[in-house]
Amino acid sequence: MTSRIVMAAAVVAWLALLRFANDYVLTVLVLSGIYAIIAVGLNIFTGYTGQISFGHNAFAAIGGYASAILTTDRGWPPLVALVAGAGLAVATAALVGYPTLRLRGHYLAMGTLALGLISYVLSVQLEGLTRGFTGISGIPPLGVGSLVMTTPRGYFVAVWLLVAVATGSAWLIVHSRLGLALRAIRGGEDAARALGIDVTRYKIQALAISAAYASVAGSLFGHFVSYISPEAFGLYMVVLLFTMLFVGGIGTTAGPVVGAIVIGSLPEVLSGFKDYRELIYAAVLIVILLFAPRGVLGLFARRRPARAAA
Amino acid sequence: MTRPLLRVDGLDAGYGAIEALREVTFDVEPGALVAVLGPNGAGKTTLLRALMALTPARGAIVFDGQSITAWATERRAAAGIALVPEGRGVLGPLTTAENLALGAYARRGRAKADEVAEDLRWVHELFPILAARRDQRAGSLSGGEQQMLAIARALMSRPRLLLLDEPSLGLAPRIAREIFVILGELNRRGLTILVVEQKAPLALRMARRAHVLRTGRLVATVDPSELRSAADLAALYLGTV
Repeated sequence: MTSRIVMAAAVVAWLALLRFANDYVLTVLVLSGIYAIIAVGLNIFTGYTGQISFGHNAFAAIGGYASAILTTDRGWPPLVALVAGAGLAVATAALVGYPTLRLRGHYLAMGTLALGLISYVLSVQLEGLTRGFTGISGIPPLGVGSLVMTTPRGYFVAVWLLVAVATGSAWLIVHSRLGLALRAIRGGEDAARALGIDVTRYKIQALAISAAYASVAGSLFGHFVSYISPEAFGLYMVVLLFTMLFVGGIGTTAGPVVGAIVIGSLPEVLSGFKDYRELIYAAVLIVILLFAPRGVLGLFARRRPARAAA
Repeated sequence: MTRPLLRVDGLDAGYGAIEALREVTFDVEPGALVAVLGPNGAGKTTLLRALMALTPARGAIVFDGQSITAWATERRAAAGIALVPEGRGVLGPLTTAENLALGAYARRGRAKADEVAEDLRWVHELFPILAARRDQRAGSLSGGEQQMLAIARALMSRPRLLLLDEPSLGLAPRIAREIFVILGELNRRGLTILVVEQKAPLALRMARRAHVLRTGRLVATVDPSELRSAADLAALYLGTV
């Protein structure tokens, strides 16, 4: 019931923003939405499967660069390039996942961190393909046929519809037969194995699925900003993603989206504080993590039982 | 003489000071209920984990005439060995129904769906409380209910051999007795069971044969019907501690 109210409120807010918000606000929200899509995917792997990936920036970079290169150099239609990028990200995840996902805990974290670092180095070094630090500019806007998105308002519609699709599809995955296995793996790998679950195979599938979300988001970023460079997909992206997951509520349906909105818009909301902005930003994060360890959503869901217990 | 369903031959497991097994050898006949008794740290959990390939072990394990020594955990599970682990191992954040669905995870396909539905009805008959708790998070169930769920989940795989790690642990005596009565009933219906227990009297009442495990070695094998008195039991079990 509460989830229906939340969904209705989200739709109303979305319509209100679409009608009344200016381009600046819409731009901030488009970028938040793009991050939300990666966070929703990462949440499948980290929140529901219990695996750590510090290398998701690699998959976003694959999508971003695939879209940029294929649309500018090769003249591919944006949507085709986006799908191709996602395919490449999934293939990479499967390839990298096979050796990496036999690792557990800290080792998996380090292995995926290496993946993120390698992707950054490659995006800098493969100049013939990526143009190094110069980056790729002139990426055409996203569009289907004659419908081309040129304004933040257009992207706001498209990106947030995709956020809804991402959230819905993630929910379906988590509650499917595959999702059941993933949640069993989070409960304990040995126990999952004893139930006859092929743990490594399902972890690879989870990584591949979450890589697809990251890749699509990377493509959207390239089209929206019309320019990408290695910095856009650096390790800072990973820090932001995990902050979003923890702030919103890891392992919850809407948590990654809430986290992306909060973390994406907080620096803008605080821009009036000028020099103290970073300080207040950090303070707000610490307060959220102290008082809402289960994330902003957990705060709402748990308020009454927590009081009853106290 | 029938071929044993499980043959364990010279099983060594564990390392250094950690709870270990030394040269453990025994058979489990089809349809038997065999108990392995022993004090804390005797190696009971290690034995079950080794049988499930969850802990490295040397020695031979033969299941239904086939050597499974080199098989991975999930293959042993698919072959029909189900483990009810120490501390029950139900998945707390998942519902009772989802836990049961996981038990049947390895059984897939259209033809199997009807069988699984039938088995679900059967375990609900066996443990009616699980039907009532269907949509409740497993973590919110009582200890006894969780143990029932763990056993029911194992049954959902239609096991040929059920392994149980201290099913009475942490349960009120009445609930523990109830669990063992159900295990006895399952065994009478033909399910082969290997249970490790610290609470000897409970296990001895049901078991056809009991092995005593002490510091990683099987030190005695008894026919429970020959044990007449509590003194016999004490000599066998407590006396060796």
